[in-house]
Amino acid sequence: MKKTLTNEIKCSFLSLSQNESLARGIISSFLLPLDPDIEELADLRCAVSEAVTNCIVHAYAGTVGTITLSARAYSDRTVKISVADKGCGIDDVAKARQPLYTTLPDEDRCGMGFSIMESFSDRLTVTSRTGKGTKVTMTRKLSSPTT
Amino acid sequence: MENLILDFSGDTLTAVLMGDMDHHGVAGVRTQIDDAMFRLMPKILCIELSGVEFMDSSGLGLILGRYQKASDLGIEVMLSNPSPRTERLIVMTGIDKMIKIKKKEA
Repeated sequence: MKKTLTNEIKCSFLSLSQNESLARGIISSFLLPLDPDIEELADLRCAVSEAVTNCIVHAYAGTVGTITLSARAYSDRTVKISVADKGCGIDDVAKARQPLYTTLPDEDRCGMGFSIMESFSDRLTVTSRTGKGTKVTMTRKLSSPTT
Repeated sequence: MENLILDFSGDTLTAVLMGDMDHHGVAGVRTQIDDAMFRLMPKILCIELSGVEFMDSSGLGLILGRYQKASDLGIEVMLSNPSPRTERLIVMTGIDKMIKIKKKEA
């Protein structure tokens, strides 16, 4: 059976740190009707929080720009969540994805953002162009509801 | 919302973290804990986690940063009562191998 798109959202907000919880709230509201289990919901909330924090701390460091959060749900219970910015971009994506790698050790950044996003999704893709921006896309298939 | 309570008794400084320990939530907490450590020079810094509702790598960065500062000052650090969710992140990132986790007896 071919999978079909069952829902889609797209929203934009400024790269202000109080919008980290806003983004988590939006993704929770999107996921809840799909009946995820508690762990799946918590994993994806955390992964979105990491992606949005990266936009604020790195992409738009010291400036304010727009972050776009989009999410799609498919009939096979796959969800695809993207977080995109038009910030500084990442010169070396492979390096940025390494555990413990951070450009800001003095600011208590532990360098685990991408590792957490990887752990909490089935698939993480990162596309970035220096000076143009970055888009991370996380895909995860939700388990079947137990009831 | 206030998301930190500091308590000093005996030779232990307890930092009770509450609410969301994301990049937004840790911003003010960090310097308050550091200031108290420098001022009081406790033997032990206990970070109480039972009131944490959400944590991501920013919260982990807060813990690691305090651990490094405390180690420089000769202060021992322990983590107290993380939720299963918070503990999962702590174990996932290997912080449990560096910092002792103390749990309430059930």
